Amino acid sequence: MAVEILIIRNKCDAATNGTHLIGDGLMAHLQSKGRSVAELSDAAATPENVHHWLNSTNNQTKKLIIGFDHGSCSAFYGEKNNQVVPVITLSNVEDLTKELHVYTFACSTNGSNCIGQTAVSKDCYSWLGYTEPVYVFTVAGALLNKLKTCVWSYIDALVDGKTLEQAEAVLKQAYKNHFQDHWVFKYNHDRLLLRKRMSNTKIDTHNRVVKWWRGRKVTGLYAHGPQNRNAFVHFQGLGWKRLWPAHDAQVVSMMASAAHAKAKNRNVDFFEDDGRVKILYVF
Amino acid sequence: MNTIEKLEKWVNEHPEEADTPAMNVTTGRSFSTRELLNELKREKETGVAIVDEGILEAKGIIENWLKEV
Repeated sequence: MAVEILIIRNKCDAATNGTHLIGDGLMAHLQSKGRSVAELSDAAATPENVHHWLNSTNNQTKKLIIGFDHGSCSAFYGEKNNQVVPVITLSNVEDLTKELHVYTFACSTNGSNCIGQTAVSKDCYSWLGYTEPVYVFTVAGALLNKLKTCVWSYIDALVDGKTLEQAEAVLKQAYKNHFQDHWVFKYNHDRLLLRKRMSNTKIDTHNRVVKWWRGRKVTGLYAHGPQNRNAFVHFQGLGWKRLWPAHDAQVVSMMASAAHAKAKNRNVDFFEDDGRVKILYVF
Repeated sequence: MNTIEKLEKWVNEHPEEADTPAMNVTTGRSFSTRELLNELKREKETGVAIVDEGILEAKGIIENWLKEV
């Protein structure tokens, strides 16, 4: 079943023991806020699993990727056979992150011309990461808990409906609140960077669930007779999309509009929500 | 107040934090603030300059941080 949020956090060396600890309890925390979440933790953070959950064809992750792991300019890492291996790379980043938001607590993914910038230049909505290596506490205790609070603050802000910019400000302030406690907070703060395709977006308004498609042609119609409100439209280049099945009148009027568009070869704009057509304009 | 004096003051006021190691996730290099303070003191006492790149990087990070605390 598809989820809104995917957490990736490997654990196969001393450094990732620390980054892995930051994610302890996060899945349950997000679920308590009503979010659907999947987690690839430790040995589950394999390239195959990451591909399964993120490729745009399967579309199993709808809104946000959270990664606590190793990173570099050219890749974000997971693990296989207890070895660090790249899971999101310059060659697959377009497909795996398109129309998603990404938040990494990992080294160097958001430097100049690095994987974060590449992702956003393709179809990824946003990538918040670090421009250089990050520092982490590897021993459980008060400082690790404070770092955890900082890292979680961005995630909490996003799932609570804040814009990317508001969430970034929350994260920066969280780090600033702990500057006195240890140099790690200022160091990481000074290297975080948000890259985004547009301003004032939220994870609930720009994602793989909802999307406006414009200037499309209708190339097929299908209605399954024995079932009420079971009607599909085939759009050129997109395939079959079900009409939003909440109301009889809505299905009938959209089907009539689509039939007209097909017969007259007119362009249509439509709003897709979770793979289904919710609003349809014919021009 | 120079770097060593400022850092020593902070270490004395935050003994638990000063002993907590922090790790560079890329290099895996780990050190505590107290260890770095000791390195700086050793450099000053012996006159032998620090050449270890990891320690030099940490020294720069901490000097930058001390401007704000």
